[in-house]
Amino acid sequence: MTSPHSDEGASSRARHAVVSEDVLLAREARLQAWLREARSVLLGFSGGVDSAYLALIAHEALGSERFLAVIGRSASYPMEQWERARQVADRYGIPVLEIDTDELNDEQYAANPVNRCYFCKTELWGRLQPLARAHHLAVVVDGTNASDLGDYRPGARAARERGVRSPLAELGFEKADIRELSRRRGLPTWSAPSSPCLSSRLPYGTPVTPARLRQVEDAERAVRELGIAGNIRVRHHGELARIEIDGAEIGAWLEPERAGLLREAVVRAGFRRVALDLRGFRSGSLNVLEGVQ
Amino acid sequence: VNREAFEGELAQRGLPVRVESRERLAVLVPFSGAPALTGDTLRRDVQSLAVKHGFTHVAIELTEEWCSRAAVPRSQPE
Repeated sequence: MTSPHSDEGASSRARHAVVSEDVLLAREARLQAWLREARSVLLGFSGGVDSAYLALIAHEALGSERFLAVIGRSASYPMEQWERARQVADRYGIPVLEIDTDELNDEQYAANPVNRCYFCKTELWGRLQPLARAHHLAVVVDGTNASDLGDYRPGARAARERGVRSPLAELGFEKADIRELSRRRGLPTWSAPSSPCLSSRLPYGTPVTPARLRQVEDAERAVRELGIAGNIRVRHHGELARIEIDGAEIGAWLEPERAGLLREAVVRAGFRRVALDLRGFRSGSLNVLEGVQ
Repeated sequence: VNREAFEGELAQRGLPVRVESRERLAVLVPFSGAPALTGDTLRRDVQSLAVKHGFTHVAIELTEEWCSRAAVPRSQPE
């Protein structure tokens, strides 16, 4: 599962051009073979680009008896992402189980340290491994891809400790490959912006609470409803919301009338002050701000 | 970071704002008469200045007053 429970690093960047069709299809065939060799699989399914593609291929390779996608829901999981996950599952008949995860009640997680994702993933995989055993599924996998491997991802350690496998990364799938293969198969997620967990909007050290997460989610939904497409993040700086949108959109939303609409939308979500970042969206923005490598 | 120097250089360039420093985030709080930063070039200049003064992020506060009064300078590239 790459998102939303994953760390927000620079994972969404496409680090290379999409490789040729032959290479892509050969890689997909290797993925199918990998999955068949695993015999039966439980996937941590977020509904993001990577896990949606993996869910589709795994379901094709293994069928409904030997494959299960599990959504871990909590206050840090964006509702929009859940809707996307359900949409994919419903369209392709993918068997899905939903469980509630409880990372916010883990004091170590809620304190929001730099390695917050480690505690979240420990909770998630700690729930999914017994579930896999109960359903007689041999291997637990996530949607981590090869582009993710260079990022700061403390959550990956929790996956390793729990024996979670990452077939997309192991077989060299880059983000751009997954988007292209998803596009060819008509998956609605192929062009979806990355959607990491809502806690990634809180600077490290700011306690993660359901109220703060709801504030961020409400604000982002309000911004999207204004018609802003692409990446949107509302970073929570106490009473101040700092909005990041794609660079090409910024100028238009600094026109006074539209800036006023933006301000009003975010104030309604519970922020007293609203600021627009002049550089715009950047993945891992708070890591940069706090010097986390 | 050097908040005061950043603020001074912005003023010299026709951007009357108060710079609020939140570690390496600079929040520009516009005074009345501050122009809308609709131009790409102007925004890039502001970002470069911010980096020069030690900030990694710069954002402009959308104050109620500024949103209702900010002028869009004709000289700014669209």
